[in-house]
Amino acid sequence: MLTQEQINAITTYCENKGVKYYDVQLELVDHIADIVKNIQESNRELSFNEALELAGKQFADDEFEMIVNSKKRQLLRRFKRLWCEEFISYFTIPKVTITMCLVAFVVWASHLKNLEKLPMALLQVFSIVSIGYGFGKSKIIKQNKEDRMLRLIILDVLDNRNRLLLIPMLGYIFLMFRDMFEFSPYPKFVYEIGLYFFPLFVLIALAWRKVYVDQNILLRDQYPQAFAF
Amino acid sequence: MYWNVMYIRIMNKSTLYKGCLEPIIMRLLKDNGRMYGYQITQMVKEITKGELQITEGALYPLLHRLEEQGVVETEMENIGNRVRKYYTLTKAGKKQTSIAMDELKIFMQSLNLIVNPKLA
Repeated sequence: MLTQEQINAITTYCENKGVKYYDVQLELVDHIADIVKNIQESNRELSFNEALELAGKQFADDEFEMIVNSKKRQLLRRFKRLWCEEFISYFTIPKVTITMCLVAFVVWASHLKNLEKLPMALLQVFSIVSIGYGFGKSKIIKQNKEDRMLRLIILDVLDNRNRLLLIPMLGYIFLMFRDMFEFSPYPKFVYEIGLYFFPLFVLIALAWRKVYVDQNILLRDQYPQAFAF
Repeated sequence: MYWNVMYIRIMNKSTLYKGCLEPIIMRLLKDNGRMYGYQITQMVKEITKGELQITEGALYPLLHRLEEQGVVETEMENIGNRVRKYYTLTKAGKKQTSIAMDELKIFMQSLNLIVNPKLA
């Protein structure tokens, strides 16, 4: 059996090859440790360092990078699939009916009752809720960020996706400025289109939020060694 | 024509095996229950008497893809001072393995007809 120092040396070797993430590293460390053990068993005169060097030669130069990149691609695909599933799960008859009634009420109130400020008022309420859900750190996310000791590829990919939501959110903040300060950076039809697409954006943001939180909960169980308890 | 001949000459065994890697791994997992990366490479090497050697750069991306597709599931286990990741076929993965093996058999029969036209 390899000693802890030897396992640490393999971990450092993987890090030097560009595998910085613990969730990718653990599999490769185990793999290389097995190769090293195998080499040492077949040639007992070889030192650990010599065996590690030989084990490393079994990997092509770009293989480590290839493994990390493929893991990233698979994670992106997984999150996209989960996000779509979550988004589609909204479309049940009661939920769609309530949303359509709300939209119809806003259109009716703004056009027939001359309550021009109503859509924007609702937009502001939705924005606050959406920002709260989308970027507010729930307990588990906050805890994961505080307790994380090792870098995880899953968290990096999740956080990168989470930041993407900022783009449409900024667009809606501009819409609110337009209404609040009579400031008009774009034509009225952009404002109207943006307004009517807002329920869709809220749904997308909420579906993502659910995936984001669920994955953070799963992480804790999957890689307990990566977190300090 | 010249380029075709050149391509055939430089085409190595791994290129030929590339498309078969997925059903091979699925079959191994079906027969052995749970397996880890290194074990898969060694078993393939042993069964094919060293003829087929799976590189890590081909194995792990494939295992990660199968995991994403829900064909395999993973579990971690502490082995001494390191963590080992085991792969197991899911229920859907077992069904898919049977389909993949049937497809592979048909492919091999078709290939045989090309290699040995007299048998047709």
